[in-house]
Amino acid sequence: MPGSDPEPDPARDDRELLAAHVAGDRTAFDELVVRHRDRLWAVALRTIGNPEDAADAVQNALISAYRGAASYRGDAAVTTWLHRIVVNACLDLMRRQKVRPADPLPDDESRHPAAPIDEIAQRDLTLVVEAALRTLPVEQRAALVLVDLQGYSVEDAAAVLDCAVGTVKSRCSRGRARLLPLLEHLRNPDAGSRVEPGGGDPDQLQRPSQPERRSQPGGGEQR
Amino acid sequence: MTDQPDPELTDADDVFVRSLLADVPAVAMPDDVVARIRAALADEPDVVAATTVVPLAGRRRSAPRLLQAAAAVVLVVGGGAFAVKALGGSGDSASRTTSGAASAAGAETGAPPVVTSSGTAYTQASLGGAALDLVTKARSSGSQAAPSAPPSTAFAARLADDSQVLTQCIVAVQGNPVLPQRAITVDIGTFEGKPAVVVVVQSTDPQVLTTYVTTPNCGTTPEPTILYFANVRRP
Repeated sequence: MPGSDPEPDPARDDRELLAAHVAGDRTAFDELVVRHRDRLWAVALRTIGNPEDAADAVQNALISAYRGAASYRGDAAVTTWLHRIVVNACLDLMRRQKVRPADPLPDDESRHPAAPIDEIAQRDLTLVVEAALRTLPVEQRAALVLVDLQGYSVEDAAAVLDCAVGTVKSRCSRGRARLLPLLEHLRNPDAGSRVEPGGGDPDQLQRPSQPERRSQPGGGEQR
Repeated sequence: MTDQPDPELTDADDVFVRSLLADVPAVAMPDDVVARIRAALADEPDVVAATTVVPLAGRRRSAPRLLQAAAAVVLVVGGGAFAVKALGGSGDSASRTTSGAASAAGAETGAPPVVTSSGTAYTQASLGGAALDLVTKARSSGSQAAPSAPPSTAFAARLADDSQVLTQCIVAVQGNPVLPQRAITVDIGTFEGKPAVVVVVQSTDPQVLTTYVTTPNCGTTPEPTILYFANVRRP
């Protein structure tokens, strides 16, 4: 396995790959990881807020999924099942750590001398949003990451978080309400920042141009 | 933290925050993390792929009569009929064969799945070797088993008498309908000290047996709790 990704296997959907893994096919799980790793990573990174812990969480989650594949019952999409394991790993990690100070931003903008202005704006937006997210209770953060950042439907997010749809809606609503005062300056740059993400200058932020919408995760199986 | 009152959020505010969060760029897993995870998964053993007990929270159903009854059941599913063999403490004491619904679970050899009630105290450490032993015994006696004594437990008796229970158990432990349903043998005993059913299934790889350990209500509930599972490579 080490070295490179397996050849894509579009002939088998996620359920078939998981079944093949349980049946002893060593390449099947690798293919599943290749299909879903970017979205799993995004969820972990945005939920936890730092890449080292996110890597730990995703690695632990994927090993858990690898070992526990037989527990998959097919009552949700494989991608939902994988996201659930990753989110639980993130929540467990954050609950163990309780409060962790925000990681400081790079204090030298010259580290990115060649970055286009839109890229800088998007990077700064990400940092400000991540800093704001870290102020939320972990459950609200996880719900917002899935629904607002990753584009999950509320129903899919509820399946991932193993809670009621109404609970997800409530967590998202309360989370947005808490984020608003921390992000308000991005709507009105003159208002100043209430989040200090460690040395950046949020007052300099401009709303970035609308980026390409990411693909919608959850729901269907990949082929 | 969650006890603090949340500020008011107008519809416009809601849209603003949502759109802001949606504008955060997507990220791809960095190459170093990809390599790290790839290496970690490559280190996972493929002889016994799973080494953790996997309780399925929320899927447990109460089945007090069955829980009081048998010890564990090890299930290896085979062909168009099945045999129940109660081994008891000192050795084989009963076996039965039944044709019917169990035909959905055909073994690679075409032999019927054998159901035994050995009372074996399985553990995570012993399960792999025990599964191989069960398959060996099933091959030597399974298809020609003849009833000689009733199974030693109520659950074993139910498996023996009701082919639907056996079939449902075999299908339920595999969970996913796309999984191959080729069971070789089933044994009733204990797993880590608790009553359980062990189901050994031939995987698509002829060298690999997949062994499921489940609760004694297997076959009477659509989603029995999987206590453990392991892939075992034939020697």
